[in-house]
Amino acid sequence: MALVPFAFLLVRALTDNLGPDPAQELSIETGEWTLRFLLITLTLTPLRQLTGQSEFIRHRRMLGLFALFYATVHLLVWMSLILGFRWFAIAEEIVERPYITVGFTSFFILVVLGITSPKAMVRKMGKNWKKLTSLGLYRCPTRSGSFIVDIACRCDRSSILWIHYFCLTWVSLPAKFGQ
Amino acid sequence: MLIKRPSDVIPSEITPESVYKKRRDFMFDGGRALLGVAAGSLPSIANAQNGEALKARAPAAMRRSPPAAWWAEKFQNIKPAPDREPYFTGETLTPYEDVTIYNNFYEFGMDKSDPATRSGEFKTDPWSVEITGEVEKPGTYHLEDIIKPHDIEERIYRLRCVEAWSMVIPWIGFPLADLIKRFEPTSNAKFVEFETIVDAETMPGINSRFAIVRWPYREGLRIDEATNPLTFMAVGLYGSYLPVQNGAPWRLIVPWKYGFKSIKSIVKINFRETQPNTTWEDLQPNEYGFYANVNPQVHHPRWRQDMERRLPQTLFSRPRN
Repeated sequence: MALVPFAFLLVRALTDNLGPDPAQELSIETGEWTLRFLLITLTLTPLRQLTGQSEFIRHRRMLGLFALFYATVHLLVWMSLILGFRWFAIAEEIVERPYITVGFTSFFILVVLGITSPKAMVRKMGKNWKKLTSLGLYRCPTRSGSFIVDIACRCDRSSILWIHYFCLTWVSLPAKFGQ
Repeated sequence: MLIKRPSDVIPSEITPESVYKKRRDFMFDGGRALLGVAAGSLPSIANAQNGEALKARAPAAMRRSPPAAWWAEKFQNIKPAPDREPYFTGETLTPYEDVTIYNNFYEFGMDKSDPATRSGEFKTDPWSVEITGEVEKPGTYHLEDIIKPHDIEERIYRLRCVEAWSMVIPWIGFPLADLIKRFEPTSNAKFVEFETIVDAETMPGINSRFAIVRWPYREGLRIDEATNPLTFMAVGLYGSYLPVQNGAPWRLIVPWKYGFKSIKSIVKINFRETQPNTTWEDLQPNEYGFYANVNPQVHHPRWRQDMERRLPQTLFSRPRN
């Protein structure tokens, strides 16, 4: 299911249906889907707390990994189609542009979470893994920040994601402090 | 982006029309002789990008009907683009289909395809233009009266967007300098200000909740930039009438500046002594300057400018320097 948007993009790419500027189209689409999966993933915890259903949690890790998947594609599109694998330019962009710095940092956090996500690893890390995952909540505003700055003109779509994020923090933060 | 750059072209360098026409004939005949084929059966290198050949490359352009009857007459005689840069670039043209689907024209919406898909109601005739400010002949003119005295010619320019993409487009129109001369600006006219039409009924982006622009869209040039021989008023592209998404019925083209300077669907030209406020400078003064000359050394806060994507791109294209 989570791969459906990717499949759609793939079909459009293969049938030459991405328009005259596929770099822009792909980077926006994969960026948006990363954010969506991230928000869905982060919503599952408060949802369990509210409903008492543990059903949601079973899919949490998998959805988080899909967020990582879309983030990786997003990064690859940016590095190849937009910057042509010019490493100096890529490094310069990451260091000099705040929205790319936060985007890249949040990608890095996602990678760390991804690597440490297998069950054996989680067991080994014990409590520390929980601490690590809470990083996920911090990276979310940074990610949305990057998104907002980058495509301010698409505010119609991103505002929905923002509302979602604010609801999420509103629900989850009191829960955290309450514990 | 605030770097001022004088024109590279000094008037003495410009080839007189009679000379470049001769050269074109020479190249055409030479090409035919070299190829050893009957006249007209193969386009020669020299005329491959103009006149009828252009329309052949863009059949969709050929099907466009004139906004009003008087246009058809004007378009019967189009002078081909000069064979020399910077009036012409031999780079591969961006296909008509891409030029007319990928546009920034926020009055119709913020997606690139909005101007093409949401502009069906827009009317380009009758069209009047107000000429005001520091000129001897101010007034409100019908577009027909503005365009009629000018010969229509072709220019093949690169259009570079600040978003780091570019297209190569064969425009038709006439130099802005010729138009300015007719209205006799006074010695106080140091800047020229332009305004786009605001018609909320036919432009769905105007009243959009997400509109960020304070309408009308405004742009401006210093008078010497406006009278530079490269500065062009386009009334068509690919040998045919301008589609709405490209700024019908007429628009500005300033090939050495970022695309947002080349204002579309103009209804007002104001000559003034002081530098005008322009739309993007108003919105984001730290991102957009008044001069906005294309400069690879000066990066926009969001987009690198030392490389660009020449459209159309594929998944295997790389940005160019």
